[in-house]
Amino acid sequence: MKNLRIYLTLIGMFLLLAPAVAQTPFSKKIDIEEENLTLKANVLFKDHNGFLWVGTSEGLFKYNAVTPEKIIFPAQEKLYITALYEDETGSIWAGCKSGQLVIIKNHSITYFKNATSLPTVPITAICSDAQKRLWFGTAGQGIYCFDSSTLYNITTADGLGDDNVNCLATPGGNKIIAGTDRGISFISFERGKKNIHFFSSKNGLPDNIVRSIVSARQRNMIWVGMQSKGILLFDLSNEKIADTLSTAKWKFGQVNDITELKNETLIATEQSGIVCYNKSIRNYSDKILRDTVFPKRVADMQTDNEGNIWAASENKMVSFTGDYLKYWYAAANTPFIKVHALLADDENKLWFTPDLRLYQSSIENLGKELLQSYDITPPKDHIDITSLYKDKFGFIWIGTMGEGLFRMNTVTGKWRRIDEDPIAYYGNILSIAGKDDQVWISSLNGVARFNLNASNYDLAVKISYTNFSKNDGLGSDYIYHILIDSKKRVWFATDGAGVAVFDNNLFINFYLGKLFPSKVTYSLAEDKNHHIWISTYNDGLFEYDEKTFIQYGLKNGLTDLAITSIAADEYNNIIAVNKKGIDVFNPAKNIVQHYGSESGFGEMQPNLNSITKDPEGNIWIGTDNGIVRFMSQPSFRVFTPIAVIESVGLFNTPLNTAGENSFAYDQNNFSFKFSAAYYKAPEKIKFQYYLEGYSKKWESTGDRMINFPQLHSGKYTMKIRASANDNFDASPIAYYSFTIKKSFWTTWWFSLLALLLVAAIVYVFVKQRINSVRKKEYAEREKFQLQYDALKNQVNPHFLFNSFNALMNIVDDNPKEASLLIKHLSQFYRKMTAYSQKELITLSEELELLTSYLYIQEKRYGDALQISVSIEQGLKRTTFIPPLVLQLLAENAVKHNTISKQKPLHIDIYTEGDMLIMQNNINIKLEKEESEGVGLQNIKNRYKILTYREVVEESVNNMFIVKLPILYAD
Amino acid sequence: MVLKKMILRVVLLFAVTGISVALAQNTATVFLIRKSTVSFHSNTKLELIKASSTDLKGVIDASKRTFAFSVAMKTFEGFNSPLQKEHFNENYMESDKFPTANFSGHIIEEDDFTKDGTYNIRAKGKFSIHGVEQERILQGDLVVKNGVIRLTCMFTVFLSEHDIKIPRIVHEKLASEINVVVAADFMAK
Repeated sequence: MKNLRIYLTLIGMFLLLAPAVAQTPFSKKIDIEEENLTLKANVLFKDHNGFLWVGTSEGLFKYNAVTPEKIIFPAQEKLYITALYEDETGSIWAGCKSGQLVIIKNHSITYFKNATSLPTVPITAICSDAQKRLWFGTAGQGIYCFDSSTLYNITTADGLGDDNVNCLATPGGNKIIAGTDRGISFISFERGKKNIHFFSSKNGLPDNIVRSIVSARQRNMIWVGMQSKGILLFDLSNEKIADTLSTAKWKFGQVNDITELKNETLIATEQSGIVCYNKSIRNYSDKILRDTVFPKRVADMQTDNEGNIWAASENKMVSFTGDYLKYWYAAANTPFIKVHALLADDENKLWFTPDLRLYQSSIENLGKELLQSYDITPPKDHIDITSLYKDKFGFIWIGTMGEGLFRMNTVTGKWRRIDEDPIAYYGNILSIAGKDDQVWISSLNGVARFNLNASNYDLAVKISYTNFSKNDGLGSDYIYHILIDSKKRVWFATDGAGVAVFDNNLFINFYLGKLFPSKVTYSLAEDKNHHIWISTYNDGLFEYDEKTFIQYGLKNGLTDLAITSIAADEYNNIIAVNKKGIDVFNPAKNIVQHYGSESGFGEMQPNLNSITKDPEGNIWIGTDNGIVRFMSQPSFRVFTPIAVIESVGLFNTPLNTAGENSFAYDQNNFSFKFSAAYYKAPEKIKFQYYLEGYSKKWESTGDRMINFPQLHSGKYTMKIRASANDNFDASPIAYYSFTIKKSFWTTWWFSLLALLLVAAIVYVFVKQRINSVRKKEYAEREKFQLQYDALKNQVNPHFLFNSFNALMNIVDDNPKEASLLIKHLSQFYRKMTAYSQKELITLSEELELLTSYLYIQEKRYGDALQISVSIEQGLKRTTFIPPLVLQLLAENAVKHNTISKQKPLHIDIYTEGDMLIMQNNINIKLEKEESEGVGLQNIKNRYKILTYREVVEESVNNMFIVKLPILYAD
Repeated sequence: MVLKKMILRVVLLFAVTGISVALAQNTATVFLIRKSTVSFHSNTKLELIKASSTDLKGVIDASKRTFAFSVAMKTFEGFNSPLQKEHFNENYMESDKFPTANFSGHIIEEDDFTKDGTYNIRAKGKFSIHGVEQERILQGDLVVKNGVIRLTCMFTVFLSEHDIKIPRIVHEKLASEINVVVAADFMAK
């Protein structure tokens, strides 16, 4: 047994001065414009979406987490940007070195114009007050105030300390505080009244040039950064310096910006990069980043939504993890190597065990000040400390791998090996936990419970113990972790039996009872709701709510299912450590924030259950390559990337998304550009889109653009969400709604109109058709009437009688003449029969018929009937007349007039213009021949059908005149 | 005659720096340079360049806390060689084109310089050399005794900031930074 004896030697409290092992946030650099060495970043700004804007000597850039995108100004000019601000409407105001102000809103860029003369010197700062007025600080022309219509100028003439204004702040919203070349000026400007006073070196300000003013976390306090005297805290309530913060120690040059964190304040300087002021030890340190190429001149700082600090420096943006994630890296001469066990005690001391040694340091100054080292070196073998615990007497319990268990009085440095219990003596002690009088240890041979009593205040007094193993009902003898919960139940993370609990002197093995599915569990934690959390070898996380075990895995956003250690923070997040990094899981929101290689955790190699929570709630994680501190904060960060629709393109031309969102039917080619302000790991961002009215489900895309070339008319809403893992449930959704109108021929009013038009056409057609049919019918009737009249005349017995009489008179005397008469008579009847069937005949045909008729009548009346026809020969053949019209008129004339040698009847037929005229002198018969008087009326009716010109009948100078329209062939 | 010429130059300088109005109104607190040296040197392994001028013109208005200085480039003497002086004026400073170096602006500290004492002050203003203007904050010491203000000030001029080009051949010889020392006695006007 002698060679097994371990000499635990307390070498003593030798001092380790380690300036090179300072705490370090993780940092990365981004070129603003690749290889543009002359570019100088002047100002950093964060907009309401969380995107960073950087104003430089060579223009303005927006960093969308992929690459800084240059804003193209309307005239493509190169503007030297010196100040940035976003007003309450979301417009970005960029102030230039020239004094010019540019306003950027929704891809439209305008220049600020005002009736008043604008500044002509560099704009150094822009801010707004509670009244939504904008304030501009200038380098040489004081301050301008713009109330959306009038631009006011405030200068030394109004009481301003100096016209060189370096910075502006509005901590309360109403009062403007300006840092000038002559101290701090306080400005109130109400109802046109300027009330200004200033606090300068005459009042005790160490340095008159005030470069930076930032609201402090303390109420009514501001941080003031100066040109040569560092920073100080200024109390606004009494307008006095509250704390000069060891200004005498300041040797870092001009202050450009200040960012206050929980325990420290970061200062951007002109010559010394970022300087860190530690609030608790009241000291400054530069070179806070591991990266030595961090530039000297830091013009501005900004904190992004994830808690990363960004610094604008020369041609780069540098980001680092601020204070939420800090690293104490393993390196030569540092004790932060192979940290297998870690304990933050109630005295704000951190105990940790790199290989072979146990160290202790104050938490707030870990690695900066003195480290106490306890050298526990066995004569031959090395000792590997795997677990630490501090009991109620303040003694540290030290569990080792194969070398037993030790209890140490940290005040005297004395120690004792716990040799009373075989498990403790021979075991590999994997975990130690305790509460009040109980201390439990776990090993690969079961567990042991020690009961402390008052006598154990003496290190030498043996401690009573009870051992438990498989035989006592514990499911497995391999116990990785022990947790005593708030109900004093003892929980065991076992290899082989899942999770087990010791409650009321009974072991419950959930895996064996088939209540818990996972065989190998690693780590245990209890959250604020007194729920027990269990991490597993390969099944992710489990939450026990006293009823069931709820499993969380990759779908919830966890990065790895093999979780080596867990802890619950003060804000009910579960910190789950795996090989890839730290998953911070918020069960209430069901979201996971991962800190992996992009946050500097990539190669750390965490150790099993090397995790502890300090009294402030910070989680400390021990790894092979250093110690990592994760600082939980109540307002902890946006866990999930926020998707933003950057632009909407219509046929690839950007639209004004705030403007009209209703489009014509053929404006149907839409493209959407989107991004997400998630700077921690931009390459991990995944997007999903859902076009309401088109998509059937959420579609995933790795691109940052989507195009819909031919959308039909309808109502659409584009929805975009982003996530850094597979869990999109809590991702906020970015919307853009729009409408594509129907083409006009598919609208209801067009259909109605078309229907009405068709109805009208049909109506008109039908009406016309009816008309024409009627007209035709009428014409037919007229025709028949005329035929009837003519035929009636033909068989008029008087006419026949008279004809035969005339024939009889000449048949003997002049047979030749008689045969001619017969010939005419027969010709007349033949023609009349032939023509009466026709609609129209030529005028010459009618005249031939008339000639035959008049020949017959001449034979009867002799010279008493005189007829003259004077019509142009050509006209006779080309013009038309309804058959028998002239014959009827001539017959009428013969019928109604006395015809004698004394009173001869003259019938004249001639043309006048487009009228055919037939006239005769009137010698009214005393005794009227019977007549229906319808002849002329029939003629008129017939003509009405044929032409719009009317038949005119008149009696002038004892002449009866009938004018017939001449009908032309058409 | 010399004094008259000097006053004329100072007045001219005021016109340039735009504080002549202040001078006219506050004669009691206006101090003019009576005696001065401006010297510069640059250390490189190969060649030391140094020269000085006693012809610095300047004025301080203690009540307005403004100031203006000017020195003619061609008044620098004491180069290692006449050739060096020639190079200085013709190649680097282009003294014919940009005859003077100027610094004007305001004093940051609010001390009363009319009272005897020692003051460490900063002056912020526009420093122009080789026709290129830069805003600079320069530190200096003022020792006030019996109405005489003695100013001593040391600062560095970065050639690159003022577009002063050094031929490649002599790049090694010439440092990129020139150290300047100013000492001047002021008296009330």
